[in-house]
Amino acid sequence: MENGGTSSTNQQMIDQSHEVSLDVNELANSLKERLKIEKAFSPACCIYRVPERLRKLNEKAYTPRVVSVGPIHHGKENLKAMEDHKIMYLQQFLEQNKVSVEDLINIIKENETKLRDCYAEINDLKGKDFATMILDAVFIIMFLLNMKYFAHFLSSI
Amino acid sequence: MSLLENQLPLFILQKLLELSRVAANPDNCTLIELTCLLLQKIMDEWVREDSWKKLNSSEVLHFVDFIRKCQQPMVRYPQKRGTGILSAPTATELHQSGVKFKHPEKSSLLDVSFINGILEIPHLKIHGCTEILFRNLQDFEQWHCKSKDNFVSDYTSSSAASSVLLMMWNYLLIMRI
Repeated sequence: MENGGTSSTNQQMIDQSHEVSLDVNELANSLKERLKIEKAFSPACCIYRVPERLRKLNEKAYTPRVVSVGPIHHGKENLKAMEDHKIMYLQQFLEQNKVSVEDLINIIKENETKLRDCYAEINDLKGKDFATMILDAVFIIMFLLNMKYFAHFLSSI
Repeated sequence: MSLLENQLPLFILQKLLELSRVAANPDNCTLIELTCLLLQKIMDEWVREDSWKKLNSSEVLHFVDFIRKCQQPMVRYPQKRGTGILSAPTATELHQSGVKFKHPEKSSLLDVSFINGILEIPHLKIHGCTEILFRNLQDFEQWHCKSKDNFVSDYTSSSAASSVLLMMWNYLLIMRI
């Protein structure tokens, strides 16, 4: 009886210690999952969100007012006017260069990991974010090519 | 182009540009060359030819990084520690103490030097977007670059630019004695 009582008390103590002890495996898995997706300090990371304390000093210094480029400011109401222009430029790009949307998507797909690594806080870039990147990249390219053409045109007249 | 949060990695722009046919890009310009053509029209002192042509384009991360890399000063002074916070003397104070000013023909806007009483400091045109540009360059630099390579922050923060400032203050003290 005595032995049985002691054994039962030990069991209770073990049960209690289980209640308060850390679950090493669960914690480790949770941290490992975060390590997989947190890229803030990856060497390839180069596009950051400005900290709130700095943004408060001068909101306009960090926020686009005409066009969004990349996923961070995409979809903002005041920047939507330029989205039609992006579609227009994409259409021009595809026609001029005889390439398809699939060709562009394949280039993005081949570089998906490298692209994800560039962004600090966009841990889970979704398909639509990559579509945004294609539209924005083509917009920039067409804008730069057009500016070169216009500069050349203006200097020739 | 100058906002840190409004960037795409340059390598992907270059890859997509390479799809362009000759008719669309007759001179087969690289993304960096096209960027320079634009920036030279709107902020030429930031993208001098002798500075951007030295860059290895595969190492340029995005437009903010490009503008920053173009400002790499030719001479970097070692940081002086323990000098406290120094505020820049005014141009009048410097002039009255015999300091001569010179606009150097150097490639970087941030190349400031003070040798033998001559302060060489490139002209900086202040536009509506100058503050925005400096803020974004500095924020990117503080996040991304090692502290010994913070040349934009050194330029914008008078306490960090203590090496040149200290030399100037020492000169002023000697001239007044």
